[in-house]
Amino acid sequence: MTSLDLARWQFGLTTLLHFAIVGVSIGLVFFVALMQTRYHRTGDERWLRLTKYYGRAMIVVFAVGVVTGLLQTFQFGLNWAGFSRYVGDIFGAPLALEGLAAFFVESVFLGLWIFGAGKLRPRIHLACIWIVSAATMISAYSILVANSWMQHPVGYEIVDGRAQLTDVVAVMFNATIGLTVAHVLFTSLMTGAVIVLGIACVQLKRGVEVSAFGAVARMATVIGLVAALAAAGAGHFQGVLALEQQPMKMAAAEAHYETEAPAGLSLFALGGLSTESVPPFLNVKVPAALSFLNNFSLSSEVRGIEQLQREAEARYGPGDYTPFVALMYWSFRVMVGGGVLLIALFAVGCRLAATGRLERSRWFLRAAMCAMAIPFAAQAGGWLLREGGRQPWVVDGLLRTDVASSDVSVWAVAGSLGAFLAVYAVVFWTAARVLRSELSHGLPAARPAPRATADLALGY
Amino acid sequence: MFGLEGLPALWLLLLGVVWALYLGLGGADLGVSMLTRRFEDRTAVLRSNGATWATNDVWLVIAVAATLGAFPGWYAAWLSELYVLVVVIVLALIVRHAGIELIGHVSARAGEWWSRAIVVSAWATAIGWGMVWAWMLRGGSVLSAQTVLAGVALALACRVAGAAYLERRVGVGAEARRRTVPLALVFAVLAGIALESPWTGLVVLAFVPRLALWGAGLAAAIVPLAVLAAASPRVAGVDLRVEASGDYTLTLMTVIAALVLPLILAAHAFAYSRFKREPGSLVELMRRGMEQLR
Repeated sequence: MTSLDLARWQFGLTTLLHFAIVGVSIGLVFFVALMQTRYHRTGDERWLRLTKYYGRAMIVVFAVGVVTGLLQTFQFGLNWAGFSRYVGDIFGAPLALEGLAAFFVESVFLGLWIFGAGKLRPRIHLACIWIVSAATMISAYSILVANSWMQHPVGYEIVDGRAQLTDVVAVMFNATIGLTVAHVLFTSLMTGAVIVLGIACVQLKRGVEVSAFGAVARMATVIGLVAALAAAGAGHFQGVLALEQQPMKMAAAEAHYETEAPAGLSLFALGGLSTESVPPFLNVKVPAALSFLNNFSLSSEVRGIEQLQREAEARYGPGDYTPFVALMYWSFRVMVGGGVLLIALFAVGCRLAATGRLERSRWFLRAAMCAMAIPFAAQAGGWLLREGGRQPWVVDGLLRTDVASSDVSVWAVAGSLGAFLAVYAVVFWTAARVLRSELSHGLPAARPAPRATADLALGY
Repeated sequence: MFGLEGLPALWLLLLGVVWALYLGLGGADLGVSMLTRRFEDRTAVLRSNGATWATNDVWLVIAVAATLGAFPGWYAAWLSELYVLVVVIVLALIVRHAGIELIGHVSARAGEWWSRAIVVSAWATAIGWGMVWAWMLRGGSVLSAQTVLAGVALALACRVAGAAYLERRVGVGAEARRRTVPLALVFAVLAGIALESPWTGLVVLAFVPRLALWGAGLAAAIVPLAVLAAASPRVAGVDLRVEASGDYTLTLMTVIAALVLPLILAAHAFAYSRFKREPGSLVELMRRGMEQLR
């Protein structure tokens, strides 16, 4: 283990944990805002009680998101000094946008929302939560601008060995970013839907507050289905674009070793999958499907890992330009498989809701509860593929990961990795317990119980 | 200004101001956290800055993220060279954040541990930032008389500010303030000598109840500005003239800041004023009830 390896583990683990929480936050804030809006529109107190109930969970999740996000601000400088120097100029504008327009707005308006219940006018209070929701999405956009530049650098020139921004429009608005943002935001809404639905199903299975939880479960299945289908659509076109922009990533995701025309789409493979060119001994493929995804032709040539490796050597000099194929291959399948399962779940849920059987279908309630784990696995798969498939580059074709790290001793990185994981474990464990106890209390009352002031007034 | 010209000078000034906002406003929050266990009504203490403390930590996030954007080389240098210290600070930030958010929901026994963790992490954060800023002045070893002095001085100034804040909001803390001020002043003067800046002596204002919050807050806030004014353009061995981002990026960042900063300052001020009379303690609640009757 070198300090580089440990820094990569640290970044990978802490970022995956952070992103898992962020996805839930974006989704939950949106759903809570939606519930409050329905109360505001209809005056139906069920929605107010649901707003409070899910709002509690949202606050805890949001807090964990903020806590795990703190490290991200420092991590680039701590472990990745070379990377920071190289990309700082490019990241300046998106980071300013994220810090000022997203974090700040989130925190101010979340504070106003939490502490302003009953003190602010209802419309202002409702506006606060929608502003928080918009800010979470701006935050996602800003980070994905930076991340997309690492996948597909544009709008820059190299000055003194560092990238310098020359065209902000090219960096902030392009197809790669548009598709990525759509994919991430729709998966976040889908994640929110799964969580909202799962929690509702726990309560429905217990048979408490069936009318309120039934209503929110129906809402979550419909929005979840739309979001999951949209996420899958955006993901499909991301894949098509990646075949053009990052062919090595897609070849690894498909364990596609040899250049073929037409090329098949692998469904399932066993064995092989190493960086050495040993193709898997079992590989179930859909004929010509990969060619079709490449450019909608059933016979086009799709370059394989071996050819791409040779091309990279010719262009960048000798070296290993192949990512960890087995990890990419299975990450891809976990992501797609998870998405397909969730689409099926939501579709069945919509069908049951349409016929009025959702609240009573015990196997569906159980399935929806178990499904709460799926979005986390799918998201982790997606990020592993996106970031792992770019290796050995940290900025595709420009900066190698092994020259991007800080000059720090292996013990310092090991110590910090251990300390962060220990603290994260305590925080996640405590937050999980808090969530469990908060949610098991059931729906809160629409109006707070009379407090000391009221008692005093009556007694006087 | 700061030995720099044009946009890099503007951004160094902005960074100094944002750091000052963090240490001035957030410093009082750190002080409140340090005092969590000193009062019986712990919830009232933690609620006193409930609506604003998280936002004050965002000033820190903005300061650090904007350093990456405006002076990438400087960001890379101090974070990687002060590796262990920064890791300790980040851990303390995480623990304090998580503690304040979760403590209201955990059992009484776990709450004891979390409140201890909040106190320790608040001290570690304040001392840590004092050390970082003293180090910025000359570089060299992170563990020196100057850095430790500055760290302790900043933490004590924060404690005074926190006590003054509690005094104002929930009516407790006057005694804690009176008892901390003399020690805080001694350290502030020593740190002022070490940092070659007389401004840290502003802590002396904290003897006057009405000026205490301003005095201690300004003494904490002035540290980054004084260090940058003294050290720039070479901060901790990094030449900011060379390490600044291009004018194109800095122009964009300036436009974004000019559009958004006034709005968020207004929103932040609104949050502060809106919850000025947040009833924190039972006494306050009862007093309000009585008022309603009249």
